[in-house]
Amino acid sequence: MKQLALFESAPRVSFDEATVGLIAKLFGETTSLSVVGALLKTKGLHHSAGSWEQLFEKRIKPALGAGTLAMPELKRWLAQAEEFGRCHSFLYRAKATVARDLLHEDKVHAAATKNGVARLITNPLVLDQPDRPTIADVRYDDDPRGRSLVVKVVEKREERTFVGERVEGDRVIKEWTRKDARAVNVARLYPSGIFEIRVQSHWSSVNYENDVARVWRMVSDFFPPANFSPLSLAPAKKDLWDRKDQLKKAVRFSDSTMRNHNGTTLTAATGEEQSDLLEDTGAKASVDMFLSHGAYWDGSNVWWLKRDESEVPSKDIHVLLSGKTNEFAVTANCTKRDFEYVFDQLLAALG
Amino acid sequence: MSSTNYWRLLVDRHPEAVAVINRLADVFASSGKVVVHYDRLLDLVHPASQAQFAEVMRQLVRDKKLREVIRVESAKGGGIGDFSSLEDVPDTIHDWRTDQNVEVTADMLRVVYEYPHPRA
Repeated sequence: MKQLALFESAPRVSFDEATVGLIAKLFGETTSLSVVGALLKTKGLHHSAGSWEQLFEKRIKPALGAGTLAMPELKRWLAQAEEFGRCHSFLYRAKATVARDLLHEDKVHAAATKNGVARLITNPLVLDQPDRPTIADVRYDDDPRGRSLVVKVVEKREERTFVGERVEGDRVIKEWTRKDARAVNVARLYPSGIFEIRVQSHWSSVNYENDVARVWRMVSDFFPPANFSPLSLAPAKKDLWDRKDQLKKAVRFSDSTMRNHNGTTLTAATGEEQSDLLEDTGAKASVDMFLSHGAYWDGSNVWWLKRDESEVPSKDIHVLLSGKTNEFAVTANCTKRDFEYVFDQLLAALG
Repeated sequence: MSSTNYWRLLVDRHPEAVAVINRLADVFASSGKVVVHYDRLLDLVHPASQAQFAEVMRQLVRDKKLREVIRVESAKGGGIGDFSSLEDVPDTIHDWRTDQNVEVTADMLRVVYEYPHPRA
């Protein structure tokens, strides 16, 4: 009773109910109850709930009101949930001196002001499906790779789903339904010069050039394109295969596509999702043989495997190393930690 | 029941198909796990009668010696979904090898057999 009295008499912190409601909706679309519950637990807050409604009404809103959870922190959690996984990333490189200059607070503030988004530096937007692509966040993130600048663009896209076909007279008519979908895209620059444009995956497309161009146009004042050149992942694809025996417990290969300068393409693809190409001695030998005759890597379909001896990745992570030479895709939703693990593994494989 | 005895019993049940059964026994019994398309089996077994061959295959599936699936294959190669019947195959499927949803067309379908049956 004493605790309840203390709670009731504690100063209430006001918060925007509409924004919290939208965050609840977006959490529901991008992550799981257990993930957000775990985040509450790290702060020593009540975290159990059987539904999103319960989690927000009985845990998150009371914590916001009591000041034990702040809105910026909730927005950061949303960023972690929505920015990683189900994405195609494109890597570029700038000189480290150029990157450090672009990362300077004065430069960032000037670019943000020019784009009318300076207020976002301290107060990111929470957007569902804006009518036009919109810069929603401009922030610095700290991680072992250094302090990066992250600019987030949220947009509405049209996704099409095939429904079926019917015959009418001498015509065969195929039908698709159109549906608006939300997409979260991110541009991120490190002091080393490594630059990433991360585009949310489409359901029915493999060509992301237009998406990359559109996102980059929006963030070009922060990251002027002339400073960057594509960072090819070809050395990483080669390195992963060269070290395949060492990486046996960490990486599983599903598909490998190689080309040579005669224009010949060779693909080795496993029969099933869980199969490992390396367990097929004939396929493994064929790939090695083709490579030894001057072939080069075109595409690779790999899984970074969950291992007992490590917390990351938290589950098997499927990565496509195909498309553009500087492109990789993490095809399923994943945690920030798991995405960063894959990111680091790829950078390490680049040497 | 040992594998050898099973094939002998199968011949007793389908004496007209003894040549087909013996060739199938050679294909499946000679190595570990075998995953093979129907068409490949036709090439290996070259049955005189397709109807007879189909009946023997149906018997092997009924006896759970073989697992039969309808496999949807990616345009890039490799399976992207296994289904127990044509009716279960969806109109669209997510091709995890290319990360896009694709319309399933007849040319993407293969009847695939796995030996031994995973539940044997």
